[in-house]
Amino acid sequence: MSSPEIITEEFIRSSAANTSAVSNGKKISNSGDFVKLSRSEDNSLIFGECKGSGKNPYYTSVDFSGDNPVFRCSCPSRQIPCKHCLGLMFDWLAKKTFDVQDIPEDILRKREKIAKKEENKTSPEAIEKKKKSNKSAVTKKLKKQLEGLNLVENFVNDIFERGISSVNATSSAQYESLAKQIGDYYLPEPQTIIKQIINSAKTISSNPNDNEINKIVSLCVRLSSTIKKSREYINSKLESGEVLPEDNILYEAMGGIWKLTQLKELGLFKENAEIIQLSFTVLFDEIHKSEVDFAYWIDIDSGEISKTLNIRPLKAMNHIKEEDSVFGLHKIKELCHYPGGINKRIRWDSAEICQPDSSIYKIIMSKAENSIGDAVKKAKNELKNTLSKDATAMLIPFDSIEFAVNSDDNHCILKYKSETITLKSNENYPDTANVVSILGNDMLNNGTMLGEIFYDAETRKIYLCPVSIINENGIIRLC
Amino acid sequence: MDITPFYELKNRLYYTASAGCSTINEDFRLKRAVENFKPLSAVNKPFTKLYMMCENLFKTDSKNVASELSECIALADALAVVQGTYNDASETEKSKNNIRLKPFNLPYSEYHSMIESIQKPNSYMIFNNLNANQIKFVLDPRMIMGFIEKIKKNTNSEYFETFITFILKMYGNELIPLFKNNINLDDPKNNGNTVKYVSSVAGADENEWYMELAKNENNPVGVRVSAIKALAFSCDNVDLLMELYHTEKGKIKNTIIESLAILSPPEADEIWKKMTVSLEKFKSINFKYISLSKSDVCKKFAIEYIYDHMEQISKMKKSEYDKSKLNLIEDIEILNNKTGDDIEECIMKIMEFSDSNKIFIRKSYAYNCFSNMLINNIETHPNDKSYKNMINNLYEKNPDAFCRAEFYTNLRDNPKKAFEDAEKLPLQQRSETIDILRNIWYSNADNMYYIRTTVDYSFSRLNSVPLFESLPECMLDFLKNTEILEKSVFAEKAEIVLENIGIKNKSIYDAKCNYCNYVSGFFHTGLSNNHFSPCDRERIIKCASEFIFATAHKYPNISNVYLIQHGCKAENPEQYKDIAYNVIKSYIQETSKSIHSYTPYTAIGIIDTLPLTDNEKISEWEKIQKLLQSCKKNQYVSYFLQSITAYIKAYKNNNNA
Repeated sequence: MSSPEIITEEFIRSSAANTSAVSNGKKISNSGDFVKLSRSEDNSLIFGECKGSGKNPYYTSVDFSGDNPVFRCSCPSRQIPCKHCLGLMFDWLAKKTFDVQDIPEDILRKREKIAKKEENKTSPEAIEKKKKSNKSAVTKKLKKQLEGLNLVENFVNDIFERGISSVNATSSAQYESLAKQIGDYYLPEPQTIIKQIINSAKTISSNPNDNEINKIVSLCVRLSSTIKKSREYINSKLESGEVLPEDNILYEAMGGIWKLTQLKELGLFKENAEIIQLSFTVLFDEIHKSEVDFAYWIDIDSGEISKTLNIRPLKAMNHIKEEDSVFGLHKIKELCHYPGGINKRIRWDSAEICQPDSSIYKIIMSKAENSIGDAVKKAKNELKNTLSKDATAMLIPFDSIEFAVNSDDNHCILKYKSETITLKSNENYPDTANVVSILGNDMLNNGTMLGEIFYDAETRKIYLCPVSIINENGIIRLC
Repeated sequence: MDITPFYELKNRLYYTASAGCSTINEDFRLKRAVENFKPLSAVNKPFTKLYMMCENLFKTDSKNVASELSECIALADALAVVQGTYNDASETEKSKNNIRLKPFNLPYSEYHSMIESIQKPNSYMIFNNLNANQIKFVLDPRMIMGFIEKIKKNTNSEYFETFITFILKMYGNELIPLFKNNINLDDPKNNGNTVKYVSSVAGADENEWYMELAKNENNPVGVRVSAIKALAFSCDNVDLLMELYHTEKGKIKNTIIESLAILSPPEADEIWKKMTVSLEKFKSINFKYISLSKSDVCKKFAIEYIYDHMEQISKMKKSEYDKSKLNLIEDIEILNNKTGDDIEECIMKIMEFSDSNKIFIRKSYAYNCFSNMLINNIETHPNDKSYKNMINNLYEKNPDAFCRAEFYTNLRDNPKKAFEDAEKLPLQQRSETIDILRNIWYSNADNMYYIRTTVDYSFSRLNSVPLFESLPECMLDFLKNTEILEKSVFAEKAEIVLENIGIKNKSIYDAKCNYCNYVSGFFHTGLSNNHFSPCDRERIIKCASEFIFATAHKYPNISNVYLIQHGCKAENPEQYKDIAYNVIKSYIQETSKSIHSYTPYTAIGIIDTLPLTDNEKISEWEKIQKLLQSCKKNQYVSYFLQSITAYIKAYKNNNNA
């Protein structure tokens, strides 16, 4: 059971759907719109009545009886938590007087319902039943996916044989209908890549561009590898009869979406983890037409760099909670991670957030790679995999960051012992190298840099894209 | 080891994939690349594997060339990553940046919305309202880089410009080098805003940089234009400007002329002579340059121009006078930046001429225009005393017309003396001084009071000059002084002044009401817009309380009602009575149409918040009700009457319950 003691400004901000909800919640609290503020004797519930635009007040509550707080409000807003719930928490934070009251009956009923649901879910019969039905459904799905992969393969082979220029007005209609068809085969990710290939090919037919052509070829190669590896993966699963998801990145590469329960069942979690955010940005995913709240985190114990992604499709933007930078140390009971190599994606249900001790930055610095060469070697192993991302985040120590003289771009160079690496922005962090270039000298000596190592095919060089700098005083976020 | 053949092979594989591999057997370029790669294939196992896979592509029995080609590319890509080098042997130097740039733990959403918001209206207010600690956020390197990137994208927004100049004024030492380093001279569309922002703060201090940018013909036109404008900050640039004048053309040449006009060196007299050969041949496009220049040639022509203008008007019948063709008010701008007896004489003659010909419907409008011109002269020539002397002389000759400019000058130089002198002014001129005081505002950023030098939309440090750290006592004494409304000597004087400026039909009472309205309006606007420091706010409320409760009953106005909402308090509860009633009454007396829709709510609401007993409140409302019943009905009066009747009823019912 949690308690209202976990309410901090950061907790409210991280619970809110977006920043405007936070400011609206603050307004409600500041203007004293809650006409009644109450709490249960055991502090498991805070509730109140808030003035609204209508005749009756809104009945708002935040329930801490479970592992995660439950927000309830009688207002018509679809946002959870709504501004009234946030206002109620701000009132708690402002130490306004909350009278001790009995827990309202309707909330007691709702609590009971949740408990029953939970009980049903965890009963051995229910689990067994679910597993059985899951198994047959998954087998069916895998067979369908296998059929779909044949269609995708036809598409890729067709492009390679006839060339990119073959995607013209006539053939693109045919390809587009094929892409639509792939949707019936539970292969959303390959389907998205096909759509991107068609769109890019159409664009370059009117405006030829070498870089864009190479990008399409790379996408085709990626698709081809996915087909090959996925086919092997599905066949082996069907043969063995063990069809449920396993610790393999192909599940996601085919468009599968992991649930926390699945990850836990596979043992992909760490108990009592302590992590801290090193960077946060919002990326735009052109392929999926969505915004992605993207953050890098470090495990204080193992030094592993992981990432979190909060995908908000443009169509559903108003209904999905926005994430933001957080500065506290997160203590997490069960930290789940996705399959993969370096920079695994992580997720968790609930976390206790506390103010980090100043010594934590020294600990983070101690987790950096031993040398630039070591970091590059590890990154290369990751980058050469066709299915991996284009960049790998690593923690690299530095003696100094200096500026190249007599060069056209006056770029920054990270130096550690006898090694050097060029700092260069990439697509995800377009301004960070410039931000480094305007930092004062005190921040450019004896620190550790979190950066994305990436390969630039044009210059045939490996670069480091700066993301954050960590020194003894704290984390300097560059974006 | 030279691995160029490997990269050539990789490129050829990409070309083949993009062109189509159906006829791969005939692709002799790919074949040659594979052949050239053969010696390298012995170097390591992955290269051997790639060579063999590529060779297989040409085998006639190969069934799935597309898939094999894809695998070759995948392997070549992976090998290219492995071959990628990272060491950078460039010669380096350490950063020279000042350490005042400081990263803050600002959440992403906050700093992003700050960067985005600076382009929106009133964005400068966000920063004006930040306290001394918060304003430092602009020194976060991410924010600074955000601003620089916006400049690089040629963002054109007056709000953005105001803001950037504002932060440059605060942190110029740290930011100017960064802004200079980040100017993008490769963008032909660069609008030169970096130079514009830097020069507006650094002035002649960055002269060498402006010279360098102005001289280089390869620089973008926008950058050169801004640099040439900035050359006007230093007289040392005359030779360069004259040199450029003879070689450049178009937009750049026009800017050179503008800068020469501002500097007005004798070398440029020939240019003005050419422009002002005769009145008939004078092109209106050159008006700007003559107006900017303080040279004798331009001065002479400007006077000639004005006299000719007046002569033309005097020859016309009043009905023929067309403002759009001959607008004396607009044309007096030609006298800008000029001083001397002849200019003073010219200005006085315009005054006389407009008085006798009634060119201006309201004289006060003409007075304002002259004052603004004279005030602008002081600000653009802060070190030239002749502009101040000219104001003193003009004020002595015609105090009614030039009291605004005189008061402004005194206020900037010596506030104490300005208020002492202003105490002696007659009623109308006091109103003008209050109008000037409306431009005073407080900056939280550096805890200083500023006065706007130009009357435009914003109160920002860009268009203001510093005055004092806290409101001087003499200013408050001046504001709360109500003797002016009682003393007969002032009243008599006021009558004369009102006649002088053509307000004959207005009674002295109206003029006094008007003055009270100005003073209350000053308090009200300042308190509403946070134009006073937190420390002075209480002083102002006290001062306003004294003033409004001394005058409100005799000279009512709506600002008094608002000031009570802002916290103005009476010493005696009796003084609250009739405040709202008198305002409504004055509206009705003037014309019942003036009762705007907000007045009922204000009057009803304000009475409810006054420290009166229930019965006293009801009596106040009933007085207004009776007044409305007795006056001529129209839609406003009826609506007001309906509202107040319903309110009284509801209030009585509630009290009984």
